[in-house]
Amino acid sequence: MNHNPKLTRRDFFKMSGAAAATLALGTGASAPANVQAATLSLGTHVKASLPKAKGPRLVVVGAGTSGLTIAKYAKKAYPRFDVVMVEKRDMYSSCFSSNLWYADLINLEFLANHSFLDAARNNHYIFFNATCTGLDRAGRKLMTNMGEIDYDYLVLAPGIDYDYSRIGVSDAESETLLRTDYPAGWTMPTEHVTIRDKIHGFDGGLFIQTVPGGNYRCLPAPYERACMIASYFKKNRIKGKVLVLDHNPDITIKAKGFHAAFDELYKDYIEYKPSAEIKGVDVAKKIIKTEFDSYRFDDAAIYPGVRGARIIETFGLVDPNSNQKEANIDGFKYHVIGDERVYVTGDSRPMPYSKSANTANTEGKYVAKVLAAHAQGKSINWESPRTLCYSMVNADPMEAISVDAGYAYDKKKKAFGFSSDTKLYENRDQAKGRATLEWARGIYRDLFA
Amino acid sequence: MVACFSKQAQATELTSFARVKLVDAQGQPIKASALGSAEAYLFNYPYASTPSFLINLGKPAPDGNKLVASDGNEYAWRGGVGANKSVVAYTAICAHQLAYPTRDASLITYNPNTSEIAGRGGVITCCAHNSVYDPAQGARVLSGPAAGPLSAVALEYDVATDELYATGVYGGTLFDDFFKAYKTQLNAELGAGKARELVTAMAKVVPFAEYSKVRVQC
Ligand SMILES: Cc1cc2nc3c(=O)[nH]c(=O)nc-3n(C[C@H](O)[C@H](O)[C@H](O)COP(=O)(O)OP(=O)(O)OC[C@H]3O[C@@H](n4cnc5c(N)ncnc54)[C@H](O)[C@@H]3O)c2cc1C
Ligand code: FES
Repeated sequence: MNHNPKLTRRDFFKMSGAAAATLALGTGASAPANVQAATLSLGTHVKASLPKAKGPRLVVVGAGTSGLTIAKYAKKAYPRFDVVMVEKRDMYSSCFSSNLWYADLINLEFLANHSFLDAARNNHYIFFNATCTGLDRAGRKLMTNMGEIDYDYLVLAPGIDYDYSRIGVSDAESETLLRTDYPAGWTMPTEHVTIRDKIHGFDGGLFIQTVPGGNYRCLPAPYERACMIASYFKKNRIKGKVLVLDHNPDITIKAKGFHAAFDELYKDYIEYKPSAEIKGVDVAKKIIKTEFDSYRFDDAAIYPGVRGARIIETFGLVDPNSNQKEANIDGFKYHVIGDERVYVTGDSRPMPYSKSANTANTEGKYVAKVLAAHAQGKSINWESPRTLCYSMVNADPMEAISVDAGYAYDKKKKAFGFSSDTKLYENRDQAKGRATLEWARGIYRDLFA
Repeated sequence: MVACFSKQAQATELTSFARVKLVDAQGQPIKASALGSAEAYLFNYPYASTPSFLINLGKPAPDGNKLVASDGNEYAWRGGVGANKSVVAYTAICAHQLAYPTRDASLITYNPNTSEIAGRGGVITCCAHNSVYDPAQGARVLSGPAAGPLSAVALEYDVATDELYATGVYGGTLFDDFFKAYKTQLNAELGAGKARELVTAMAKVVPFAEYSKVRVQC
């Protein structure tokens, strides 16, 4: 009877009739179970509408800095790869460089005029607009809201998520209010739009920019943001002050350069408060509480703690030693411990590298080579990512400072640290101001052209 | 396989373009011995939109060293030309992420004096992501993220007249990437399709300061 796996149309109708009958009959406790079964079947066992793989299929989740780099360079390094990029956003807009928009040094086009489709076409891979929802590592299947995808290799590059519990906010109501009313501006482009509106529509008073503890995304960016806001206030004669509430005992990177900018350019506009660990926020009263003080603000961008993207946890890939829920991967080869088919890269990695675009871009080129080597039964030597990070500290004229860092592994300490060729360029000047813009353009060219 | 190989080889071996005479703004031939060594000169070659550096290093730049292009292929640098063998030319498109001199500004420059990121002079730096090239050695990468040297412009020197000609480009050309990356921008600047027009007969050489308003040094 059941030898033929094919179902006829009649069989199908019979079955669905039976199911409908069950649903109709089911009352009380049994009804929700059936409804749930029906809901589950929507997302699973439906194949994504994709061409048949023409070589080993490499699926990349997340078209951010890391994913875009890996999709392009893995295909270059091993053209037999059939690369599929899975991204939930339908429009790119850059997180890095977004601070410059607040002071009108760039326009939105600078950040957003980059198409996922062009990146895919120019670099010979497939762009698939879908949200990744599940993972079956035994069956090598990735679940998305647009169907299942079989993979030979999988790279998860989903970036970060916020962790509000680290600033003493653990109820969903306050968290939702904070996300909406005082967004941090380190993930979604829509946060950037809101923050720019806050700055440009500011009536005066106190604007608080908080800086979290831990290895948060882009160490210098909150201080750069403070400079951009202050410079906007200064230029437009807005009677406003930026209070930088920093969890850390001092500015976390390029401290000399930022302190000089705060003191010399924004004496009347920026106040810096170190060792101010946030213990809670009263959203309704607009009050930020630290251990000893409370700060009332007129407006704010509240940067909570940072953690590996939530899907890393959902897929059971969290490193038990990571206090930021980052992925449990081999620090040199990036694959999940015990599974050389699944890799995690970019800001969800557990290594203490700077969570920045230059790091993700240079790391991505190395990981692409690792994947190409693995697919050909070879292995390659480890290469350090590079963190070249500019911070614009003055908007008029444009002046910036920078750091150019590499990493080295200390076998004794069993830990990564900065390599000896790391250099700081903390005297702000216009050359670095120009370079800040060209740095970003170069990365966009690399990701999209 | 064969097609793939010959394509790669082409990128590092000399790609011949028109043999063009290097001339000044008035169309008069440039005299190699008259080139100053305090700054670089620029000329567009081999395309109307692709700038090249012309540099008198002020000291001989001997040939011979083997270089590895961005695509992994080896090639030999041909050395400087001129009476003193001190004149060199390179495509001024950064081999990293393609920064190049525009009318407004250039992030890639020749630093005759000390460069902050190189810690010495006589280097070409690209301040976009801190690549440093040595123009005395075929523009090999001294430091930074570039995967290979700048591509070299093959120069021919006429001893009798002290005149210079460009004849081709070698060492891994990046022109296709360049046109892909800047298509819209180049069309807006020069007119549709003009960027790929080849330079023929003569190429106008101008001091760098006249080519780009701001030359960013780092
Ligand atoms: C304001 C700001 C300033 C910054 N300044 C700098 C700077 O000056 N210099 C610097 O180097 N870096 C800077 N950065 C940091 C830089 O942008 C990030 O560190 C870098 O982009 C990280 O790359 P990533 O690929 O890991 O993550 P992302 O670029 O965030 O990419 C993750 C992608 O994954 C997608 N995704 C997530 N989950 C799913 C899912 N389930 N299914 C499908 N897709 C999914 C997301 O939509 C996103 O596109 C800044 C960032 C911000 C926000
Ligand atoms: S484009 Fe020149 S160093 Fe990156």
